[in-house]
Amino acid sequence: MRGVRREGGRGGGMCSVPGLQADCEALLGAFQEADTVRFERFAELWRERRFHAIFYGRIRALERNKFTKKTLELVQQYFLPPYAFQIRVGALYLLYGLYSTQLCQPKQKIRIALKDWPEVQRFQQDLIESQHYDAAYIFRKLRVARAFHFTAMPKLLNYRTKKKIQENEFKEEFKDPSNRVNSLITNDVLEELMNIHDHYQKMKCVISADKSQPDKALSLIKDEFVVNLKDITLEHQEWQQKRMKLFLNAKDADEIPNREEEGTSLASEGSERANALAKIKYRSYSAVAEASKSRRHRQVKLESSDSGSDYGKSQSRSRKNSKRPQAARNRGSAEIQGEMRTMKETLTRHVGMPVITEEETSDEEEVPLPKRKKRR
Amino acid sequence: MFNGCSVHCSSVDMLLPPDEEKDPEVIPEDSSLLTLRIRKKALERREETIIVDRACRQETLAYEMESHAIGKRPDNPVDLVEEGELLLTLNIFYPVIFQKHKDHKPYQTVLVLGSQKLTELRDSISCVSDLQIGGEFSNQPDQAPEHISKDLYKSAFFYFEGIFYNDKRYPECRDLSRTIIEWSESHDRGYGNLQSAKMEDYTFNDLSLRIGFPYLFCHQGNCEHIIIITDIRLIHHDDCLDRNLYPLLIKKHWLCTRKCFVCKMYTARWVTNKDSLAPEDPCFFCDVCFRMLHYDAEGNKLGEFLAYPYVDPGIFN
Ligand SMILES: [Zn+2]
Ligand SMILES: [Zn+2]
Repeated sequence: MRGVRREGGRGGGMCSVPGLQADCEALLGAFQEADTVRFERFAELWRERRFHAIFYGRIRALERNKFTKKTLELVQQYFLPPYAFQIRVGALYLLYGLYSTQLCQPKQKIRIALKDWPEVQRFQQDLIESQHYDAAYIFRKLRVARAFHFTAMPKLLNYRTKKKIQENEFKEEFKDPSNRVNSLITNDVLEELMNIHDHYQKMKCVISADKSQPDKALSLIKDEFVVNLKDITLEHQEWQQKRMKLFLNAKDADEIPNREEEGTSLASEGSERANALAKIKYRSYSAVAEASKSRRHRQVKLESSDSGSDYGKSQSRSRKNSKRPQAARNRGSAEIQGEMRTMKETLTRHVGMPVITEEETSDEEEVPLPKRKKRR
Repeated sequence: MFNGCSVHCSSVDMLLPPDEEKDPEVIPEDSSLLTLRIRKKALERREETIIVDRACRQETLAYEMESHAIGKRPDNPVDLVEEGELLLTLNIFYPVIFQKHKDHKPYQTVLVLGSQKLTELRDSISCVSDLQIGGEFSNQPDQAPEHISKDLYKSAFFYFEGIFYNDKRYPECRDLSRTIIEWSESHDRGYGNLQSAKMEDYTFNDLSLRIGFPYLFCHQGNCEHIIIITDIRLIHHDDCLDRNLYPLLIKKHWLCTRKCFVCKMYTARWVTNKDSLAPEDPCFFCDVCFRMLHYDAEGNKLGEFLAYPYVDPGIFN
């Protein structure tokens, strides 16, 4: 396809299978509380709940297909940002469990939209690099099982009456905690600010009497403002993290190695922050984005901070971009088309055509048996 | 430290149910899952209130339609759909706009391959108006079914993104879009630069399309079908991989068929107006009853009436 533009946004409600969202969130929540990304632990939680039975009951084939599709669609969302790393791993396991235990024949697939695929690949890379081999293995198993449909849009469009469509509500506790601030103040932004600030200082020097430092009259901005901004960001993250009580359990065994390198993850205070400030001064801007990833479960930290720096950018491709007004307009024009047709139908009466009135009985309930075409 | 083997050996087994819970028909008692508690109640209610599940038959047909081609492979390897092929899901709306369809407009759903020509889709669209037979035939009913509209009026076009794609495969095809383009240009309607092209020269891969945007298929001069693309994805191993079966119909709206007024059994093939023999106007008949009632043994017309061949919208059911 030369170009596929998106239209109409994320069609359909979050999930119309009653209870399902609560069950999935309870499982993911328990996994989050367990403070691990190990598959073994996930499997325990799954078995405790006998989650395989989620597909049980006397359900007809068509209904089962629909229900399974919706289940995978629901869970797939937790597999992507803005959810935190650990939730995303949990969602991966949950997708694997649901995909493997579903009763459809052939199996319903997990939709991955074109725009999300780079993010998914990055995630897989992260899993490998941080040596979460169980998670990487589960992902690989899904690939090999051809569990994915690669689609242009996250969801299949479906047309229902407007009022049934509701915006998704994301579970706040599952989100990557520093997400919004982080997406606003990225490494790039700080770098850029620093450059501009330097440039500004130089410009001021050039027009000042003493070329080595700017005139006092030109001192309209605080010299340290980039550092301050950074500081505020860090503080905000800390506050948020405390409030969420996320991963603050120092017992996490996985995490002990490389603590020094991970210092900027803001789990500990004081010296870490001083450290971060020092880093800023050396123009090493790896802290903010790295911290956001909540990668405290990593055993080995990424060498380069590059992979982290575009993390924030991917966030800015906001999910809110859906063009709802457009969709509404489309619907409207279809309506007008319909009206025009009925008008035309009443106006134009073809010569040689019979007069047929519309039948009152509904045709939807009564299904005629497939009949042989009785021609002649 | 994580032990790799425990996953590698038994990742699925670790999630599978104990043996006594392997009947998927039975919702386990005392399940902690909210989904199951709700479903259990809903199923119990369904069993209590409905003796014969009427949705069953319709659902079985719909399921059959949705899944009949899944996993099919061609006899000839040349017809195998290749990996990387695009699959489009289209909803094609019926032109019939009855009052009762105001909220749920009837449509059919077809799957088309990206490499298929627009004409392949055009040829697959079944519409009653293609079978419509114009004219009043009460004096010579035997001549009626011989020329149907599809053979008479071959022109048709798709409208995608400012371009009319006209079917120009046959010499008698007319450029149906010309009038529209001229109208648009002469009045400066603000529709921009509308263009026309040959339908047979384009595949879906050649087009730039929007998901969810209403496009148009027009044939028989004025029979208009809204077309909406609801999904585009890569072909999958489990899909039907027999190129010959595309465009593939996977869903359609079941239209009610008008039954013959006399026998109440067969689908109507004739409709009469001003019929002195009929209790109502218009009145519908199957072929046998129509002839039995309106003509004598020699085929002479009895009484006064106007008779038109009737093609039921439910004929494609
Ligand atoms: Zn038509
Ligand atoms: Zn009859």
